[in-house]
Amino acid sequence: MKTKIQELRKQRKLSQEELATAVGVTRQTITSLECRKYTASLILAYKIAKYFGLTIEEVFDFSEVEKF
Amino acid sequence: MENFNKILKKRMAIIIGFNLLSGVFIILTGAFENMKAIGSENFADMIHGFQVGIFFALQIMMLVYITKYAKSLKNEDLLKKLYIEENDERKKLIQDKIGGVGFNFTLGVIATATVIAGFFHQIVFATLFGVLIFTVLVKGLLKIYYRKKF
Repeated sequence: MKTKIQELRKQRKLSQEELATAVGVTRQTITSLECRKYTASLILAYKIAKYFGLTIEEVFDFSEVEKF
Repeated sequence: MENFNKILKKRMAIIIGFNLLSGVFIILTGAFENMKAIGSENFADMIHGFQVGIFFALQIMMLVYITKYAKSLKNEDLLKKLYIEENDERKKLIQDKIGGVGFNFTLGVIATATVIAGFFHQIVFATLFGVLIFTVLVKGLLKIYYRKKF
C-alpha cells in the first residue's frame, strides 16, 4: 500500500528510528511500510496518522483497495 | 509497561529454574553414560556429546536472556526497546506465518524426544535427530523468506 510516511518523515526531519519508537514498532517495520512491502494494521495506521496530526486517509493511500 | 516489568521478572525466575534444571541434566547424562544405547561405540559417544551439548547451549542461551532482562529491568529505555522488539506487529506476523507457538512447541518436543531416545536406541535417536535438523532448517529458511517478503 502506498503511504506518505517517508514524505512526512522527511518534512519533519525525523529518522525511521525516532518514528518507530514513537509509534511502538521496530525500525524495520517503518522501512517495510515505506517500501510498500508491509501493510500496517488499523492500530498502527491510527498511531502513525495521529503522530503526524493527520487522518489515516491522509497518510495511507486506499485507492488500490477501493478498486475491489 | 509496569505489566511488562512483572512479565520479565516472572520470565527470569522461570529461566533461572530451567538453567538449574539443565545443569542437573548435564550431570545426569554423565551418570547415565553407562546406559549407552546398544550399537556402535563411536555413535554412542556422539549421542552423549549431543545430550551434553544441547543442555550446555541452552544454559548459555538462558544466561544471555537473564543478562538482557536484568539490564532491561534497570533501564527504562532498554525496557521500552525490548517491549517494542517483542510486540512489533511485523515480527508477530512473520512468527505467525512460520507457525508461531505450534512450531516452537513441536521443536521443543522433538528435541526432548531426541535426548531421551539417545539413552535407549541409536536408530531412533538418528531418526529424531534428522527430523530435528530438518525442522530447524525449515524454520530458519521460512524466517529468512518472510523477513525479505515483509
